[in-house]
Amino acid sequence: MKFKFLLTAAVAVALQAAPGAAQQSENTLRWTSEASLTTIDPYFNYHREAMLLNGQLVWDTLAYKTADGEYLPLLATEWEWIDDQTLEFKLRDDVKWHDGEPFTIEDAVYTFNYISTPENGVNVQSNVNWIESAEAVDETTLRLNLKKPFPAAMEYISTLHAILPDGFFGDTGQAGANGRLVGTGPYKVADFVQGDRIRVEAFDGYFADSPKGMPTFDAIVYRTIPDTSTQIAELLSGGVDWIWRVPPDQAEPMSGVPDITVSADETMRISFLSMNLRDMEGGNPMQDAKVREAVALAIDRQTIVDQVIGEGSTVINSPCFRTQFGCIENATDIGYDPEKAKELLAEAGYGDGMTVRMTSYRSREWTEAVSGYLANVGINVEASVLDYANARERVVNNEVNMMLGDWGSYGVNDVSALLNNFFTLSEDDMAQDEAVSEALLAAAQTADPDARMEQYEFAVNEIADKLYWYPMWTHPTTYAYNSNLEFESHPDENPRFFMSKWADE
Amino acid sequence: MLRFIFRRAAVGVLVLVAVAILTFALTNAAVDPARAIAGDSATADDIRAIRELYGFDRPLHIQFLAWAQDIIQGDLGQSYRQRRPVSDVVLERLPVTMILGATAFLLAVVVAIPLGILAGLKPNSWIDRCALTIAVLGQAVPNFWLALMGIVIFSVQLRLLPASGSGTWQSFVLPSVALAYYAMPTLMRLTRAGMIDTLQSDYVRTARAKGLLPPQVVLKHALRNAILPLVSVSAVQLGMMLGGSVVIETIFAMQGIGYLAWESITMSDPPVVQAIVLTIASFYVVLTFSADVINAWLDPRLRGS
Amino acid sequence: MTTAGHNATASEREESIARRRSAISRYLGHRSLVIGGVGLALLILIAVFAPLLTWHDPYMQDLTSRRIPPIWHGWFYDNPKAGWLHPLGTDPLGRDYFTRLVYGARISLFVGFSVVALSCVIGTTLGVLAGYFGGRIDAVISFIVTTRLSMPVVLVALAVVSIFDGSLQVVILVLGLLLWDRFAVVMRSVTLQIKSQEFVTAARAVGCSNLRIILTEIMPNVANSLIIVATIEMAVAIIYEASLSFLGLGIQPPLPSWGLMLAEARPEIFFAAWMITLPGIALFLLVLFVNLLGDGVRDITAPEGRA
Repeated sequence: MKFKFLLTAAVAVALQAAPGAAQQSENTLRWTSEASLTTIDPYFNYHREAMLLNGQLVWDTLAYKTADGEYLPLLATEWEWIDDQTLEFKLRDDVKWHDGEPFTIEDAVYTFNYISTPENGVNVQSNVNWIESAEAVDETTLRLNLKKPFPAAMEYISTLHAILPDGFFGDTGQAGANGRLVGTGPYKVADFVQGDRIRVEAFDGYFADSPKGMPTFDAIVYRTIPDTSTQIAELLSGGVDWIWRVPPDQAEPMSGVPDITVSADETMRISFLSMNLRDMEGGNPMQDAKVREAVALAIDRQTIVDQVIGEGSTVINSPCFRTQFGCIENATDIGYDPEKAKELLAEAGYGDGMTVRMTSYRSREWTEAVSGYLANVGINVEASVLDYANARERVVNNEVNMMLGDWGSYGVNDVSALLNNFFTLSEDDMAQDEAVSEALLAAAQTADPDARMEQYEFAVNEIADKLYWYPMWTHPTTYAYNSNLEFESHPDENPRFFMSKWADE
Repeated sequence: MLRFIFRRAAVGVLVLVAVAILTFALTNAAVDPARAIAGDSATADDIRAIRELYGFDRPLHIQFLAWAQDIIQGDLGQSYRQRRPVSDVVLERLPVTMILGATAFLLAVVVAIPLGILAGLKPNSWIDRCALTIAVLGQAVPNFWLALMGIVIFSVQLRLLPASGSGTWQSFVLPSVALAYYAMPTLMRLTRAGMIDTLQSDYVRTARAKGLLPPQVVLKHALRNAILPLVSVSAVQLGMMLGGSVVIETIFAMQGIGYLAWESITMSDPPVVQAIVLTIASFYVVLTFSADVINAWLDPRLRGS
Repeated sequence: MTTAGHNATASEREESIARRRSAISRYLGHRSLVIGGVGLALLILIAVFAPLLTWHDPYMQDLTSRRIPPIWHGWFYDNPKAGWLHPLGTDPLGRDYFTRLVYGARISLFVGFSVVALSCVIGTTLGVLAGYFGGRIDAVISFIVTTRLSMPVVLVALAVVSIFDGSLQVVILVLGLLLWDRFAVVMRSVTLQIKSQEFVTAARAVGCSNLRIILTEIMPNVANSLIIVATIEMAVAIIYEASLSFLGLGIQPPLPSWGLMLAEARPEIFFAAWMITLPGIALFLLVLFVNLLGDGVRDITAPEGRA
């Protein structure tokens, strides 16, 4: 006890010292996250750290999406829909790659044709599988042919489709296989160690009128640290300047530490309890609608949000985020009612209890909280908390009855980025509902907003009513960083490092 | 002596073959390699094609022989996750673990042997009791707990040492101590027991009683005897450290093969796991082989066995 | 011990009492044996009578009373949340920490004993066979032992657990199948020593079968060494279980394994250190007691090793 007291006192004293002052003088930003990046490019990755954060530092997209959702010119000065399935971009002719070579239309054509070819196997196919091909109309006019009408196209083009130099993947598919690991972005790759760190340094030749602005740091260093407590230790000891996804329980006391700023933001990422309706070996109780309803009734989402998830999170009643096009609010009205849940279970023939398997990939604590509520009504949950790839594997292999999943839609403000990934009869589709799939696919290919909305309304309602998903809550993202850092966070969960800088002393 | 070396070497090779068979069986039970190679967006047809292309549809023993043949030629296969040769991935990470293991081991030896000698010279003295207490406590503290406490005290509070990474020598201090602390008690106890045994042997006692042997000679003699078992155990301990570094490397985010192993296990990359198990086993075999040879050289009687 | 008869002289009686006393005091006077034995017995009692020691359910969540600090935070830091309802506080899901620690003793002890039972059977069988028969059997078994020793325990255990999913049974099975080497090595050398002793050669001369000799002559004489190795291995097994759970590939929630509790409390280390200190201390005490007990038994049964 005495020791503990001393310890606490010593922590308090030690934390008085300003962290990271040295880094500020070197004008370097050091950030860390748990993602182990084995490839540096934004396409052969699931991790937001590579797709967005580093992607935007090293590369540029054709257009730039602001935090308010506005599209600004970036590599393209203007664009225009020729028809439902054709987009034309006017490209800049004064942009240079990091090695000094000029940026040309060949680079853009290569990029879109490479990523849209399914054989090349870009990780998140739904981000690219609506592109048919790209072609050069003239030296600065790029034409993008879509497979089908895809109204949300600019959402993806302005965030995820970083333009790579011609021949970037070579014959082997390795990033920079052609010897040109270069981008047009404000920072150039200086050092990349697979699974460990990425160091980017300011690119002096960046074009002056970019909405991203000129580089503000001399260098930005990313390091993989798999363990949250080690990340916090690094921040507290001044070893790094910025971390995110801080557990809410740590965020609160951390905000009391001098020179550390903590901020929480609601994000587009939502959690959902996905139920498996496919036939499973040995039977699948989730096929019974009463069981699904009982599951939903058993969980007190509000208490979990208030007590466990904390600031920046709200309970949702629709399987989508409210600002996304196609989302309707309050698609479900099922609330917390454990007694009714027990009744329904008894009616369904599970009065003596039942055992189901569930997988999840975000938080052990949330998973346990949900399992705990289900246990209270007699549903024994065998939960496995894994990383995303392994949890998905369980879903694909039809090994689990439920998944406590979440999806951030990559900040794309359209439900296609969410529901089309889970309900279009693919391996990820636990419901395998043809009508829902048809509606979603049709909506994604319709240009008329009213017609789209109608299709989405049907799909969203079906998913909620039939309880393919029980909508849970929105995710807050909690950031913690050195107070001398000027940093602004946004709901699109896209930390724009190019817009932050060290405060003047 | 040559015969002895040859026989031991043969056993070592056989052990490696056995380990290879076990590892292969284990990791092949784990993951469907075709599925892992095909990636997340693959269809059933893709997977079938890959299965045929890579020969995963052949009987298991044939696959093993092909795999073993590749290994003998130095080809450990491709990492599914990093999409490059496993040997590159492992070799890149090996130095960190080697440095960590070696420092931890040296640290353990430098503390344990003098302490063991002192304790053994004067059993039941205060120094002996201190040494034994340290040993008992050392074996009871889980090293990951020690590591976490080290981070809180030396990184967060005192800001003397980095909390993670493997870039500078400072970042090796905490992990080495955490790793060494667990191995130290065994070495210390062994040295102490060896000292006591020798000092109590009739030969030494008589010689000492008659005043025939000066203290230095006693020490030298006792030490020589105490070191014999120490050499064998050291090999085992060093091997165990390479394995035990999994936990430590994960906590300190060190880019060694222990962390790589944990990553590869959780992210289903069996070729890397196979390679790491084989690497550590090879180290163990080489170490024990060297220990046997050193012991045989120190004590010719052992050569017969 | 002779029960002193009526005819016994006073001095004989005294001598007998003194001898008995010295035997008892040799045990009682051995500090580590007493501390280890009593401590372990206490932990076993706690584990067995866990439901009587607490009125909480170790799995019962109460999200409205989560992260309540232990009682002394009320005494020393005037934390109003601390109270006797949860003397050691609650975890982030509002489960009573004392209750989880108490039930956690069951898991650690169960893992310890089961792993040792399994590895003891495997190791002793192999060791005794190798020592007793020698020759080719010995060579083969030695080879198996070397092979096992060259496989890194943590790695292999992690790999196996990741295949079959962590559960109490899998963890016990894996560790039991991996940690038998010390039993084999020690039993082999002990058997070698006993084999050459007179009563064994005598039994063989009378024509006893090998099985009979092993069971009636060898086994009773290896018991001491067995206990010593068992305590060492038990401590090792408990630490390994904790390490696996700590890495997230051991026993799965909501079982209250101490290793898992440590893992779950990892991020709390900076601002609620008690949450990681308490299971740490529990684990430390258990392993310490087991080790002390083993040390004590070794000192007493093998006086030549005694300091």
